[in-house]
Amino acid sequence: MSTQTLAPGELLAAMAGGDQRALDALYRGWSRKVRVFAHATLLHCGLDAAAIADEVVVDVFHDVWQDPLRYDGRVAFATWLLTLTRNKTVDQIRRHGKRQVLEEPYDEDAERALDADARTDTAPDPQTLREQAQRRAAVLRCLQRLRNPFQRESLTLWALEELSVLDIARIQDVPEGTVKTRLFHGRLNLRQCIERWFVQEGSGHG
Amino acid sequence: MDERQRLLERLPDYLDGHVTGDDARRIEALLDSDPDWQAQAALLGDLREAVGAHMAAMPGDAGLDVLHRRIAATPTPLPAPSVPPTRRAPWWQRLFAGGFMPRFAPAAMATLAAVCVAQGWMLAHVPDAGVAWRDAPLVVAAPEGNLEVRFAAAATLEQVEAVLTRAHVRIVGGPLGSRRYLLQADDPGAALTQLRASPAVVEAGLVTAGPPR
Repeated sequence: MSTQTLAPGELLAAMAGGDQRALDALYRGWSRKVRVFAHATLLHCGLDAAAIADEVVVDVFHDVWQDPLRYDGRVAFATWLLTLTRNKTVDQIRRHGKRQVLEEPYDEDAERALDADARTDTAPDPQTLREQAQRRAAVLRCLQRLRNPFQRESLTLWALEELSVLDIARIQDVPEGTVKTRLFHGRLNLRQCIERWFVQEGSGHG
Repeated sequence: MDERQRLLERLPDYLDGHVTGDDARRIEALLDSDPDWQAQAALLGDLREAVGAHMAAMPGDAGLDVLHRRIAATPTPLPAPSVPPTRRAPWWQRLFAGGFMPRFAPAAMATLAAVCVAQGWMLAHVPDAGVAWRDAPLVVAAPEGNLEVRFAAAATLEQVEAVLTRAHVRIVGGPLGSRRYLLQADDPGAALTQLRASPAVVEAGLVTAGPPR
């Protein structure tokens, strides 16, 4: 049977027997989610988020390879893997002597530059595709720009995988109610940012 | 907290099918009729779509070569045995793999040395009379086996070790095939009783004849 079709539990069992192809399959299936989540956590903490997120991905899968049977199936694999990812990311932040910041000054120049990128990226597309791509770009940029890192984390986790609020609470190690509040206020902030983005987009064309 | 706020906070779970019962029905009704609720759901949909498109644009194996290099550079613990315990090597193979036999190594080496000395002595004292030396009795200082035993196929190394200790015997030869071994006991009769009482032993008997001359 191809390793591409195996469930994470089966891949972990194969890894316990020393099968590195199983590790490769697990990596190809899950590394993007690990990277996106680590990157969202690392944003705005004064580090090179993309580079450190890459390190976190390798750290996470190296740990999994060394002890694949540490996953005991008591929670969903995604919940377990993303909890490990969060722990590794926080370790990296501490190692570099940084703290997650709750507030950061609004960088209008950077915002304009990103908006220009989004317009350039999508310029050759037909009108509807361009609008869709612009909306996606706006949502992603606004998510990455959320000033509260915990709202950003909660929303990213929700978007990455069909995780319940309870699973997100487990990953963030907070009560369920806290996650509900983070998701709610995160949505409000996201909405405001997107509206502002489109106002600027309109004025850019005007 | 008012009811609308409480339900709005459940909206992400509802969209993933994690809300059932009354709350699910009420959220469904609000989504059908309230444009603000529809906008909230659309925003969450856009969010998931945007993150999904972002992930899809990434190569899945980016960094995999870095991981391989790190694994190659890190001494990893030996993987767990992939065969079930029932398929492990039988005990008589593990016996000679180093688990039990080293205890007999000094005796075996002493026996070989004694054979060499005896042969040397015989060669040095060959009688002049032709080939008469060929008829000289071979005296070997090796411990002679006075019991033969056949162990059960399912016997564990621990069971074998235990019965050998209880019977005050030691292995002096074997394996002779079919998991048979030659044993030496100071009190062969008592040892035989102990051996036959053990579930690890299929059969045991006294060796009456001496080694062939």
